[in-house]
Amino acid sequence: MPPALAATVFQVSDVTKAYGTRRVLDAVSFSVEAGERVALTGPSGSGKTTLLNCLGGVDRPDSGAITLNGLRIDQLNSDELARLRRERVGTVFQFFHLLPTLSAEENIGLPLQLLHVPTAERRERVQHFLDRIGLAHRATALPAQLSGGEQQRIAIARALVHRPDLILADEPTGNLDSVNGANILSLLRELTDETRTALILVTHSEEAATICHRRIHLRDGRIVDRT
Amino acid sequence: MSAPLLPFLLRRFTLRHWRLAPKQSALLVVILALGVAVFVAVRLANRAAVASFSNFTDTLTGQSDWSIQAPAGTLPESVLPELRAALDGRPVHIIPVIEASASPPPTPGNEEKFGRPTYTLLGVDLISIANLARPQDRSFFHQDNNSVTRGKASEGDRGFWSAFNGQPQVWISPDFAPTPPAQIELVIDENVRSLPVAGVIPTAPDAPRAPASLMIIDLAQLQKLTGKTGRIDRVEFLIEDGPRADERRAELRGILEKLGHEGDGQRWAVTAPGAKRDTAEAMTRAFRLNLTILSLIALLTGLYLIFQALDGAVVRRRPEIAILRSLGVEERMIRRLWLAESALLGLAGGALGLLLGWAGAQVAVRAVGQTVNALYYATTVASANLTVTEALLGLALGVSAALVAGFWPAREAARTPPAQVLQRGAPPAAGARLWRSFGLGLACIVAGLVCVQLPPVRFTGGGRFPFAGYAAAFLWVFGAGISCSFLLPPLARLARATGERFATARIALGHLRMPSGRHRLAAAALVCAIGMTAGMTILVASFEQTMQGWVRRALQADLYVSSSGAQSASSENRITASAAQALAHHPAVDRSAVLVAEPIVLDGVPTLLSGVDLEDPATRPDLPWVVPPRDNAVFDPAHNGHLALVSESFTERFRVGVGAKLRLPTPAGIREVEVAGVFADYGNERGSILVEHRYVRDWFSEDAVTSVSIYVKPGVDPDTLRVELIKLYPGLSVFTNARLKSEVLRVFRQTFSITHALEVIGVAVAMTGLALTLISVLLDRRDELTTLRALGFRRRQIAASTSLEGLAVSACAVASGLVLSLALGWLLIHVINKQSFGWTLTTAVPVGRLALLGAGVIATGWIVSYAVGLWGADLPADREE
Amino acid sequence: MKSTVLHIFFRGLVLSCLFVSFRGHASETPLTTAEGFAVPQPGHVFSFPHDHGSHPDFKIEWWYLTGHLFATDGRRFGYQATFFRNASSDKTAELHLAHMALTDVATGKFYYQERLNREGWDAGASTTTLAVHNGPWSLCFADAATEQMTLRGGIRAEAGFNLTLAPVKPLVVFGENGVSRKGAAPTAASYYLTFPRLRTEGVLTLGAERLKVSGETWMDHEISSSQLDQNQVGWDWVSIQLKDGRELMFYRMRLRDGTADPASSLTWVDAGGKTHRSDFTWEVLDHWTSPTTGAVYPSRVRLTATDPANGKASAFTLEPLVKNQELTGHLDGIPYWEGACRVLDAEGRETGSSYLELTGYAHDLKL
Repeated sequence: MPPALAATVFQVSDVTKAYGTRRVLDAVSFSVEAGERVALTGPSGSGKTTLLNCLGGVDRPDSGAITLNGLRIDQLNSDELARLRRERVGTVFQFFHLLPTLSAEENIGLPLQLLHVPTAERRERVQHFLDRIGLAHRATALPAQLSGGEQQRIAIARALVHRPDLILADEPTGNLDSVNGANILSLLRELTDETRTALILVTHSEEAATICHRRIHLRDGRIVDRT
Repeated sequence: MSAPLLPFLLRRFTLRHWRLAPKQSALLVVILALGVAVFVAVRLANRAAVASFSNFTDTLTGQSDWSIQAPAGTLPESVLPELRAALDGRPVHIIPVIEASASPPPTPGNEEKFGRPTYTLLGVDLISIANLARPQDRSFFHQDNNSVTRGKASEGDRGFWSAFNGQPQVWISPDFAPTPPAQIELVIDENVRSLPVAGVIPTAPDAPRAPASLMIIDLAQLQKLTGKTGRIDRVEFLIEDGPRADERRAELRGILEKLGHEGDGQRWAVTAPGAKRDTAEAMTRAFRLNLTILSLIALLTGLYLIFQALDGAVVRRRPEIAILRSLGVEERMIRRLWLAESALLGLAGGALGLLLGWAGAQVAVRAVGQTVNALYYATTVASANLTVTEALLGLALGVSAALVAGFWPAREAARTPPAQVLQRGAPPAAGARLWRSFGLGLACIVAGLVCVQLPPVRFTGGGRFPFAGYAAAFLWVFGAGISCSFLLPPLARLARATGERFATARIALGHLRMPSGRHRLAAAALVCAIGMTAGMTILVASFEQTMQGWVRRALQADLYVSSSGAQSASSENRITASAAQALAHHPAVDRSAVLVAEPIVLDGVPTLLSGVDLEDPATRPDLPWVVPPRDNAVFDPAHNGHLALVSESFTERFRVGVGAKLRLPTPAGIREVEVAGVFADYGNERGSILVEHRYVRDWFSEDAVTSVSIYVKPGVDPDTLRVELIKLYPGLSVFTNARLKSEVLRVFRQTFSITHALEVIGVAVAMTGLALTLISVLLDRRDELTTLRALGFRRRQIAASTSLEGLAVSACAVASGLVLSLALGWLLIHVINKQSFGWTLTTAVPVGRLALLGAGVIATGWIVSYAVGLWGADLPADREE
Repeated sequence: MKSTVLHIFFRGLVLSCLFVSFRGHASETPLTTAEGFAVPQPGHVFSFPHDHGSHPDFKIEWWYLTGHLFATDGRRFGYQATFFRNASSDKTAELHLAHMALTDVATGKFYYQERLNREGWDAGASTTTLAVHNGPWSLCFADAATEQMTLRGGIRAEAGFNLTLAPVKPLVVFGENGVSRKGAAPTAASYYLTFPRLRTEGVLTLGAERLKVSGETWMDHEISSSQLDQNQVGWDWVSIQLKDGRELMFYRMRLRDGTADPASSLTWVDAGGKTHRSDFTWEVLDHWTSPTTGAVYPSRVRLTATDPANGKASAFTLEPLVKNQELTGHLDGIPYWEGACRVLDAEGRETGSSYLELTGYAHDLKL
């Protein structure tokens, strides 16, 4: 259920994108409110990834507008986009993408470091998330020493630690077995509820989609179904 | 706002990568260090060689205010009272100086070898020097080991005066020997003298320490020793302490200059302190610059390698950069991070390079010193010291080299897209795109051709530097580096016919058909090193062949006699007229010819005026002509009074040709001569003017000669005569024709020894680079290695495949490098050498030596890549880097 | 270090000749010293300007000028200009040593410089007339007939004097029968020629200042081959130019036991230039300790002599114009005090000016 008194965090209006003559996105519009979880589903080639890249500011729509808390993402330059990713968006990847040279706690703390959060506060927040994802005992382990599930939990903590407005998760369970996958999904749900962070979850998995309040189904670049 | 971020990322990201692959990082640092070290070593050695040349009077007087010196020959002592009178009671110290050179006598068995040390004998009035009121001057007569004053209280003032009235005594540098000897043997002109050592030259904090080669003798005694009684070499002036020093200094200069002019001629030139050192610097500038450029081979080669190592690191760390990007790190910051990594490498390399360079300089300094000694002036340098400036320069060189090499990789890194894009299969990094442009290679080569047409840069003092020539060399090296990699695919195709049957070969050749940026860079680095090394080899071989031809033509007499004290290009040791006469009239001598060489300053540029018997029929064939005289007037003593022959380097240095009128400064006034012909002279870079001996003798009132060449009567064995002459004149060097030829060539080869050392380092760096490249390639290809292992390839097979790649790269580089070397050889011989030294050389390509170099590089390349292959075969699939 | 240097030049340059040991006690004046140098002979007839020049037969010789100068603005200066000639014992070489000093009474500053050169292009003395030079310094007759001379001297580039000197009184020859005795030994004597009063005018440069100065100079020319006995440790010398036109010259050879050698003497020069020997007393009223050498010099002295004009004892108190007028000896290693003094009579009135020379106080010159 969408939370009551919801404020629109994220607004996608009429986004269109074409590669050559092929329309990958065709007049896609939707909005996401604070604390709301939206599943983005669709078969391969339906435009999910392109849409996600546009939302995360690593790709640019040909037309239409993407607004995050009043900020037009589609009009930002490279540095502003970097800043957007640094400050307002958290990303969870299918392949975790932890920095191999950094320990678990350093990986979590990295976004805070990028934002120059004072050391004491950073420690506290990292510790909070470590506790929260149940990996306090692995704080100093390097990614290579962690299991896939553990790595993804760290990645989720990293995506949330700087209190972004929006989390973009791209098949976060795609590389995990079902038990771990379920754990990750419930972690995502709990944490976004606690922090009232909006989540857009790109997934093939029906199971994953169930943690979301809504589902947007894409096919051939169009939203064909909203629930 | 990013300030604290950069160190954090460096620490957490870059340095951790270094720690994960310490050997590679260390290798990079070593490569950079080698480049910096060679540069620093040569620079330090150069500086030491120049610094060792000084007025020497500095050690006694501190720095004088002005100094006067005749443009040719010596000044009569009568100028001193004239100067004192002209100064009209002004408080100025007038310090007459005489300077002579001497060498220790040869040790038995070494009579026919050059290279003994040359000492500078400095003659000053040891009594009046005390008037300078400098704390150390009094201590000339105050030494514990001083025989002058010790235990002679009862002799009244006799002890004191014996230092001046008795036998000449010499004061030596504290650095001459740990304990000063009681006596010292010196060859001065044709005499061997044994002089008592009176003591050690005192040192003062405000004056430079006396160099080990400096010896001080009282003015009057040195005048007597060198046959220059009544003559002085120069006069130094020091204004006395007091107000308005600048004003008085300027006034003094005015008086000296006014007094120095005489009609249209010049009795003396007034020079500022340090002017003589500047001259020495100008004289050797071309030589030193050439060395410095050579010293950059290693660094240039190293640049390719650093570039490619950093580029490889960018490719390998791309996923991580993408994560950083997706977390919101700006491109700017990524670029800075990589540049900072380069700078760190540079700093580490620079620091290590400084240490290595300082150590290398201690060796190089001797080699540089030998060359300077043979070509320019007497120098003895024991050590080269590292100053703050040099240290900073070395560090700066390391850092800037690393930054240059890291610039493109850093840009490449900054262009990495965020992880979202990367994971969906973005195109792989292009790597060294620059290296795939055949057009750029061609453009460089063409630009080089343009540069070749440009004239050299000219310095005051007659030095020339072929700046455009070096630019051409650089462009060609760069262009050839780019172009050579285009040989790889055809080479692979060519080899396919035979190689296809073997799986190992197929894999290797498959890689080469589409050579990566790494392969191309490794090849370019090797081309650079081989091209420059082989180019220098061609130059040296051409030089050597030319020298041999010249020596054959120029040296025809049976015996050559000179003072054994003359061991350097600037030595002024002579053979007295009586000894020369005695030699000429020796019953075994058929005929003899004399040569007298007087250093002069023509238009402010030092050169040599030589007198020979031009009428002597032997003279003519002796001279290897560049431009032969139109008629025989110059050989006719009745008509050659206004004619001169000049050496080829002279024409380059003074930009004159046949028909030019020269106004020669002589103690007898200005003498005008016309250039009648140009001859080749490879023994003297300052250039020389040849006139009839008689005139030089008259102009300089000097009947001593520099050397005598002797033709023996038929049936006389020159060797027997040599032994007899040495017995008669122990202070003479007597060379037989054969010995002199081989000795000249030995000294010649010795002057190139440092060049060879620099080349070896360059090739070594390039070989290291090849290894590094293959390591990098194998790391990039880890998946493939895993697959190969899974397919059942054995370790040796993988190594064989790698070695084939290395072999192909080396072969390709050797082929291009040798082609490049021919071009560079031509450039060095006909442009760079001609422009800097004025020597025309006949080109000789030492096929054997080049083949050996090529084979050596290919073999080393093969072995190195085999070893790397063995290492790579064991590479675990999941290891980071 | 200092002492070693002293040793060398002490032995080497000046003192070796001053202290050549006396061999034998012949009462007759020998013609030469043991080393073969000429010895001043009684009854010698001087010929001028020849005898104003150098006497190479003698071992040592000096031309010694001390004077008092006043600038047009009234500022007072004392100056000393000394040219020494000193032959080596084997007579093969000569050294020329010169001292210049200037006392600036207003500022209390004392400048001095020494110069040492062997005989040659930069130092020497004519044997025919007065022409002696050392480096940029020189003293020569501008006109031998009028005995007018020119002095070029200075102290480094800090001070310089370019002076013209003209005798206002004729030349005086001190001693008995033309020989001035300095000790018991027959060789310990000199020819002692003096211009007791030279009118002096010229330019004094001091720093950036150029001052016109005028005043009076005392000039000694002394020629000898050996002067001091072994028992002598030093000497005190005084020249006084009185306002009444008369002068006094006094020297006191000090013996090791502190007493004065009988050869010490005091001579009056009357207004006409005639000399009168007189008895004397020497009283040291005050001392001054040199901060440089530590030597303790008499600083204020009272000289009492019988005035030949009236037969009464006259007392002269010599008061240094500046306390520190010590030449500490860089080259020859002999520190001495040579300074300008004002002369006061018993009532304290300034009756003349004087130069006082005090040697042998820094250490025993014989060691």
